[in-house]
Amino acid sequence: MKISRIKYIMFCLAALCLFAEVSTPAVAMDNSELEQRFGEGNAAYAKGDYGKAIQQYARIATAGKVSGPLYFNLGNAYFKISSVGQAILNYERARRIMPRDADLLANYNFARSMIKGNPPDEKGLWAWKPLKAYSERFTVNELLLMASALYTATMVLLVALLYLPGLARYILPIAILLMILASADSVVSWHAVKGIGKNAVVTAAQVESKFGPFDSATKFFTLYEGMGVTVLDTKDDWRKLRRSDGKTGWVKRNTVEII
Amino acid sequence: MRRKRDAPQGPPYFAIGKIMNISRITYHVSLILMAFCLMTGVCQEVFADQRRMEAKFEEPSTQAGNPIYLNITFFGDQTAERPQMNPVDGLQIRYVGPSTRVSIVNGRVSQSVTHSFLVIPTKEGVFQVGPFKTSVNGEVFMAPPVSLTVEGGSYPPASSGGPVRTGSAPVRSSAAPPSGQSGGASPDASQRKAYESDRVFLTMDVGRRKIYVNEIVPLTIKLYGTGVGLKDIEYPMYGHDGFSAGDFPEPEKGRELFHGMDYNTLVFKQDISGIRPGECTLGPAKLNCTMLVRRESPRRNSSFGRSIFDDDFFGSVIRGYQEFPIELSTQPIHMTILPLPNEGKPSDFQGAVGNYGFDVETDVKTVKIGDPITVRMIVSGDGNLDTVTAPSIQESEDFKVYEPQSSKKDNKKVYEQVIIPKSVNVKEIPKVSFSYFSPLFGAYKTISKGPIPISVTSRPEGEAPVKMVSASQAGTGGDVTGKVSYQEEKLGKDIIYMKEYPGTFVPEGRYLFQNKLFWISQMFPIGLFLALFFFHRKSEKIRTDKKYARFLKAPRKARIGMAKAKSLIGKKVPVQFYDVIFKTLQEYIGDKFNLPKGAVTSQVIDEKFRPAGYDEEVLGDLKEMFDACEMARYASVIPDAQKEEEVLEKLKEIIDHLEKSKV
Repeated sequence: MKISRIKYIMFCLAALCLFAEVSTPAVAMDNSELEQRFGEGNAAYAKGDYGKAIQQYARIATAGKVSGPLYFNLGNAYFKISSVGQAILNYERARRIMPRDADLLANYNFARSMIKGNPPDEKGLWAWKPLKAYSERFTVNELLLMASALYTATMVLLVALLYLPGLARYILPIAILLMILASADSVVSWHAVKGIGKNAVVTAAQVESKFGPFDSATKFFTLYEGMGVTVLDTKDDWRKLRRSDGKTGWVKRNTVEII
Repeated sequence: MRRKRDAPQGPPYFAIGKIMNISRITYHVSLILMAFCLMTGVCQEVFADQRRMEAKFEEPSTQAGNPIYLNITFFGDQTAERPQMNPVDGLQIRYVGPSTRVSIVNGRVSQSVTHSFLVIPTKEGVFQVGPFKTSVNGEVFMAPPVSLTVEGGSYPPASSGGPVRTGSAPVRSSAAPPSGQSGGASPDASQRKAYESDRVFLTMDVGRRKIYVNEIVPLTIKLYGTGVGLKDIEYPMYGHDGFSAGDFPEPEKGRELFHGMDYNTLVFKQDISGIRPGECTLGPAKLNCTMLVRRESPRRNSSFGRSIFDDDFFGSVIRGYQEFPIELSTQPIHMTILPLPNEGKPSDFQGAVGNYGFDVETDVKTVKIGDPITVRMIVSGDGNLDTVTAPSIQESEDFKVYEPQSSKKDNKKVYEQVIIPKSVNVKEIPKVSFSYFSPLFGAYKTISKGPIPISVTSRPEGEAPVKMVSASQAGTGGDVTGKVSYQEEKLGKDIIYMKEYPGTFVPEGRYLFQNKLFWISQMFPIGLFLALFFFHRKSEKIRTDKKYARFLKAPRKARIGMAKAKSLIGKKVPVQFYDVIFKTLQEYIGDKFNLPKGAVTSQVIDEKFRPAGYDEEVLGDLKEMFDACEMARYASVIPDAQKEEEVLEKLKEIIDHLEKSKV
């Protein structure tokens, strides 16, 4: 059967759409129940029963539904019981949802000020403050959407360039600029995406990082509760991670928790 | 002829001259002589005079404390000196001043001078004043003594347990009158005399007679006064050996009913404390002031009736107030100062006596290592706060400590001590104790506060600790020793409170990049662009390249032609059918090889197709198609639908073959 080329392309797209994975996980609680449990957690927090508050908040998270305020309150409750590592971990999770919340930033910075030892300075391209600040200011989804928008705008301008060659001297520079921005944002998005499932926080009070994934390995450097690390590999009960200054070592799996 | 002299004119006495027929000059001279005789005492029998002195009280009796005048008059001369008299015990006598007088009675002129004295009886009784002596032109004159009865108004009696008053104390005042001063001026204050009266008196009272060392007791000194004016009241003074006493605050004025009499009072209050055990005496208390007494003019008897001294003008000069500086005193008070018991004395007791409360506060509970903590220790209550010394935290391996600074206000004494934790392992500020002796219970008490839990955290590298400033740098003087920390305002630090609303719940771990639809949607812009790009390029080529345009259109036009030919099949119009076939073929070949339509003949097959390498069979079919069309167009053909279908089918095959051959 002979069909036109256009019809063929449309058919392929439709087929792809049919196979696109757009699904939502099964929700154990509905929104009203989540809000109720959140309120119970807040009530326990207000009374100073931080353990109970943590329980309530954690149950919401394990149900598969989360929000920025949930992680914020969870971080607060952990902080109140002097669990700085868990507090920072939850603040990091909250930052992925509401990175520009002023209260969250204040608490996050305050908790980080409690980190013992001397957290090393970050190295590399992503330690450059403007880039780091930009990357931390938006969620992953926002970065992706911005990249998409810039890239789409670039394409539109290129199309306009095809049909309005007389305005090329105006359209072309803008298109180039948008292309650069789109590319830069894409790189930042890629970096943010890469960190998902890799970035972690030390939750043990003090961890000795070793050269190898065994107890008798030589100690390399020390990590303290609340420090941020990147997990590179996992082997049995050990995790290989990289510190902010680039040093890598092995630690016990239960001493760090992925954000 | 001599004329009669005219009678002199003038005043009535000129009538005498007229009658006696004397001249004017003679009249005037006679008048002057008569006046001179009168003035020089020639007519001594007119001025009948006897020089003598008389002394007389204004009234024969009075009451104690009521002043009364004593007038001593010298008749016959106005130059008599002030009379002398001996002092009288029980009377205070003050010279007021002299006054002179001239009177004419039955043509007899008399002159006198009166010396007035103000007498104030200090006790009841009958008193003899005098005799009196004076001198006139060297001649001594005497006057007999006069008697004064003083009755009523007993002195205030001494009462048990109440204020101590001067009841039985002897009169301390001297009998000698004050130094003479003319014109009624007040005597010098150095001549202040002790004064005792039920009108003005001083009392002293203490809360208790038995107190402990350093125990505070209230002392009250009260000035009573009624019916008299008092000025220049000085603060009382009293002996207080064995006691500690400060200055009197501003006294309080009041009124009080005492022994049936209404008094104005001035109350001096003060706290005192015994400084050593034993028997001690307070007082007597003494208070100096000036008493104001109303002055009255001496009575004058005149033969003319009302004396000129009774005139209002003169009366007001003589009437007014006289000032008397006096000294009031009280009886002493015997006190017993008890020593503090040794039994039960705490080891940290440092002499505080009273009834106290004790509290300890800190400004912060969480600090970084090296930062100071200010500990406030507050001692409050009733007692001798001057005996309270600072309960302090001692230097230890956990804390570096500085000297406490004290401040006192009302009944509270605050000690502020700065301590600095030395390590992060310090968990608490140690217990602080304050011991004192309670006179109320007669026993020692100890109040302990703490320990106070604190949290010491480590300091991030690079952060400077709070700067410590020495007392001299801070500009404080006095008895401050050691270093004192002055830090900038330390704001509290803690996390911000929780969020009240949960926000929008989203599935955990779901990101846009995990959604394939998102990536699919990202293909649209580039796909659209590429599509439009190629379309645009093709359109431009078609617009600019006619050969290409004809080449592209050839298959479509061939399809249209074939469709038209198909529509003619079976309609018995073979000429039209073959004409359409021919034209379709002709246009197709012409478009494909960019030849004019009219130039496409069967020779084109030899010229264009064969050199292009086409299949010979196709070329043969093509040639046959051409020939058949020409035959049908120019010769009569029987309509044959089947034949026409075969021709059309053949044409389709030829065109398909040519298309597939990518000509």
